[in-house]
Parts: sequence; structure tokens; C-alpha cells
Amino acid sequence: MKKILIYGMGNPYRCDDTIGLKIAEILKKDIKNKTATIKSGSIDGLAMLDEIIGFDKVILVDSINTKSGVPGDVYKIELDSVTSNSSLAASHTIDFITALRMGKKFGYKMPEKIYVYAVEIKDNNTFSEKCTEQVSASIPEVVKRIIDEVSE
Amino acid sequence: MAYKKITIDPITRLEGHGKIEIFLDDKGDVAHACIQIPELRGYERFAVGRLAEEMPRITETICGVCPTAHHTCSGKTLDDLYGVEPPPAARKIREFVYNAFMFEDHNLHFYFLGGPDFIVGPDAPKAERNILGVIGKVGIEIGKKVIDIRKRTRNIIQTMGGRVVHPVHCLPGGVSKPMTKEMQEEFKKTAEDSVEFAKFSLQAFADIVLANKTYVDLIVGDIYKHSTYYMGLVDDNNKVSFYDGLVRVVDPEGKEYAKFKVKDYLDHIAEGVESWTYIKFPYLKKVGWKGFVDGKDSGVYRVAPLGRLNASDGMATPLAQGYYEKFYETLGGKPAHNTLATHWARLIEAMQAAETMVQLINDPEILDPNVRNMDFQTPKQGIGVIEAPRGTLFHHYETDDKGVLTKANLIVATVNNSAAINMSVEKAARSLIKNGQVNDGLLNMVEMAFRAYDPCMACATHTINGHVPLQIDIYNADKEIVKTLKTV
Repeated sequence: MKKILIYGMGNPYRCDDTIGLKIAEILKKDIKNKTATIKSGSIDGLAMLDEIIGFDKVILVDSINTKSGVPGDVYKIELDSVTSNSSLAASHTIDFITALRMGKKFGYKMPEKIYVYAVEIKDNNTFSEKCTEQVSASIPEVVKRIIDEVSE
Repeated sequence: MAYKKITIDPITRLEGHGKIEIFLDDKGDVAHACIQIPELRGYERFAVGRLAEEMPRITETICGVCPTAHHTCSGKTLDDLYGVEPPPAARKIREFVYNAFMFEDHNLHFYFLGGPDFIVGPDAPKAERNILGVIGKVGIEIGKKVIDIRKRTRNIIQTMGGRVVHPVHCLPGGVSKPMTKEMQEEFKKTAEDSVEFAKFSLQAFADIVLANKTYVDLIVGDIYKHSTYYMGLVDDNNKVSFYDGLVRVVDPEGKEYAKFKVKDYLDHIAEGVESWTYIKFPYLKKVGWKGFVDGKDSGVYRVAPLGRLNASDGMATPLAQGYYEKFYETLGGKPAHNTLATHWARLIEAMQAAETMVQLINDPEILDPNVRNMDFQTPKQGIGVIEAPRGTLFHHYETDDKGVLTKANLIVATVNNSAAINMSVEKAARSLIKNGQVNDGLLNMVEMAFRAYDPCMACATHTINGHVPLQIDIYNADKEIVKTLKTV
């Protein structure tokens, strides 16, 4: 059986940025597949490397803010398709792509597939533990798509 | 006078969003440079109306990379607010966890952030100036060693704090659970290995940086030098202390200027504002704000590793003390005003953190199951302080008698250094950019001026591809972009 990690990401006090955390909390109750591990938190690239080692498939759930996106839109992105320049990283840590490259370089058992379910957000600047209405409305769709994917 | 404007936006390897702007005059020399922080965080406003007991969990989300500092400082502030002293075992557990955090955070900065500048080289190609470039230089086995010790020290936070990012172990009057004998045995090995790793890092610094004349010249040279006041927590013997103590300030000549309890911090520190940025500029109240200038008449002070070493009379542990003496011998005495020496000071502090872990974990009292004092008094005001990796961190809460917050004031570590960071960036830019000649290597050397401070303008923001794009715009006198440099 393939081991799956589902990780909801976000800041619990930044309005729509909480979307990944909220979806993870629902999935913790609704997913019955025992090969799936569901976690959530605010985590950086290097810490994420610790989390994903040993899993066959990883599904990240996160917020996204694109130039022309409509709040509530859902994207499924395969991480290999995301370009990244590893010369750039946040302070005290490294970006996730660099962490992946580092994991491969070290010979760690890395996931075969990494996907991101990303929800287009409207507001991540207001201090709130709730998402905006448009973004909240996308939660059932993301939950269903992930449950279907894990059940395959 | 005609100006050109160069913008570095956002800064690479700087948590959170910020940008450097460099204005050139018509000769192509630097007329002015500054850092702007466009984001308003607003946690102090958000906190009002919340229960004070929530603050250790709320304030730690200010940042996804240094939550333990906010969490622990907030816990200490709640001790003060509720008038409770944690039992000895609780204090020791807090301090042990906190030193594990300081150790892993300092190492992370050296190998992942400051490291690329020195190990790979300040003017190396951008594509190599990162952790992968560092691994390429030092080898995969050493890279794995860095990852392993980091993972094990973070496991201490995970075990005692419930989770490694945004831990939940500090409560008013103590911690959430005692340490078991099994935990102690595992942590002893981690602590001992941390000391060995700290020795390894300091040796690596000696071999790679101190043995390279070019690097030493950069560290001791004038480009990265400012004569300021310094601040840090000290213990009863005026030795560097991370968890608790008195706040000590020394003047630019190294003489003690002030030493005070945290409850008196507002008598000593004031915060200035500028119209062009959201970040505040703390300064020594009794010296006064004279602008972005150094010297004895300017209230600008510096915190973080260099500030802490300068503000103390030594390190609190024996091995770290030996490195401290070598540090000042090499830099020509105390205080050291060399900003880039902060990287070295950081490794010496990592040694103290590791040695302190060994001391605490071998103290039998740390296993005492009594880890909570709940003899709470009616809350009104609480003030706490801790040394975060990036400097002195102040939390100040006022509440009604039910513990609901009516006011919160946070002076976060990086903010203490905000004036100095601006001064350092401007000085480096003035020294390095001449006659309009700007290239990537020079701009990286300007960035090195602030990277030494390990600044954190954080907010746990992140992008889907995980990187922060760097764009440098050069403007002519008519504010038209004449050149754009992009890293991606």
C-alpha cells in the first residue's frame, strides 16, 4: 500500500490563509483510508522535508494568490511543474523546491508524486480565524477531490 | 540634482517582504539607501479583546521560523501578569527547550543563510549562492550532519512543546508537562552531540572564513562597521543570558551605560516612526533620536549576537568563553563594531546554547513532576523579555481583571536593529557602488550588510513555488525604468 501524506498549510489568524488548515481538519475526520496521514500547520520548506521523507505521495493544501484568479478557484498543481530558482529562499530556512532537491541529493526516500491543492484567496491581511465567504465556499469541492483521490 | 533609483524587491533570503532602495545621484554614486517594509502586521491591535492566556499561541504565529521565542517570551509575560513564579523544574524545562531552539536557529542561519556568502563566496554566481552550493563545497556527509543535528534538536521542541512549529508548552506559572526519564536520556545524547557540532561549526568558520584574508578584511574593514550602543540580557555575573536576566546596555566605547529590569524598559527605550515605512525605529530614550547616525550622541543601539557579546562581560559557559576571548583578540578588542562578525558571534552563542543544554539536562531537578504554579493573582499588567536569536524581544500586556487584553506592545527582536540595518545598508551601498557601476556581486554585498543581522520581517507568508523573487529596477531621473535585473 502506498503511503500518502496530506498536509494543510497556513497561518491560523490570517483570514483566507487558514483555508489549508480548515480543509485538513475536515479530512482528519472524513478520510477513512488508513494509509493516509493528515497533518496541518505553518511550516517551512526544510521542515517539510522532514515530514515527507518516507511517503510515496504527498498532497499539500494551501492558499494561493495569483494575478488574475477568482477567489475560491481551486487549482491542482503538480510540484514538478513549478519552476523555482534555488538561489532564493526565505530567511532561516529554504524553499520547498530546494528542500526537495536537497533530499534527492542526500539519497532520502522522496515521494514519487507531490501535488498542491491551492485555493485562490481574497484576503490574507485581515486578522481573522475565518475565511471570506467566497473562499469558504470552495471547501466542499477540495475535500471531495482529495477524498476521491485518496480512495483511488 | 538628478537621481537614479535601484530597487531590490523583495530581498532574498529575508523572511517576510521587504525591499532595498538605492538612490544614485547624477554621478552614479549613492545619495541615499534604505530598507522598506511594506507589510503592516498589526498583531498588537488584533490581540486587544483576546484572553491573555491565548497570547503564547497567538504571538508565535507572527513568524513561522522563530515561534519558540515569541511563545516563551509570552509565557514569561503571563507569569508576570498573573504574579506567578514557575516551579524550578518548569523553569529548567523552558530554558532547556529554549536553548535547543537557539542552537538550531543559529546553526540554520550559518549554514543556510550567512553560509552561502562565505562558504560559496560573496561574488559567486547566484545559482550557487545557496544551501546546495554550500553542500557542493563542504560535501554531502557534512550536509547530512547539519540536517541530522537540526532534526534532533527540533525533536526536543516537538517532544516538550507538542509540535515543533508553534509549540504549546509554556503556560502561566509553568509548562504543560513534566520531562520523563526516557526523554532525559534521549535529550542528553542530543545535548552532548550539539556541543560537538558547535565545535565543528566554529572550526569550519576558522578554516573557511578566518583563514581567508579576503574574508577577514571584509569583516574588519570599514564597509561593514558602525560604532553604536549595544544591548543584551545578562545574568548576575554580566554573562550572556538567553532566557532571563537584566537588560544591559553598553556605549560605543564598551562602558556600561544602563542596566535595568524589563519592567522599566519604557524608561530606556522609545520608538520612532518614519513616513516611508511601517517598521518602527527604537532608540535609547535618554540619548535621543538623532537620525540614522552612529556614535555616542546617537540613541541607535544594536542587539542580536554581536550586541549580546558586546553588552556582556563574557559567555556563561566555559567552551564558549574560550571562543569569546579569541573573537575579541582577533577583532582588536571590545566592543567589536564589525557587523559581519555577527556570523562568528552567532556560532559562539550556539556553543553556549549547547553547553547550557548539557548542564540543564543533567540537573536531576529537571525531572521533578511539579511543573505548574497556579497561585494566580488578579491580572493587570505583565512585561516579559527574552533574547531571541535576532535580539532582545519584549512583550507587554495590559488586561482587565478578567485577563482580557486591553493593550499589547511588542518590540520584536529585529525591530531593535531596524535603524542600524538601514545605516548598514546605506554605508555598504555608498562604499561599493560608484559611478553607476552596479552588478549582481556588488548588490549581494549590499544585501550582506543586512543579512548579518538575520532580520526577520516575518509573517509566515509563503508562495506556492516557495521562493521570493528578486528584482532590481534601475530608474533614470524621470523615474523611467532603464534596466531590470531578474533572478528568475
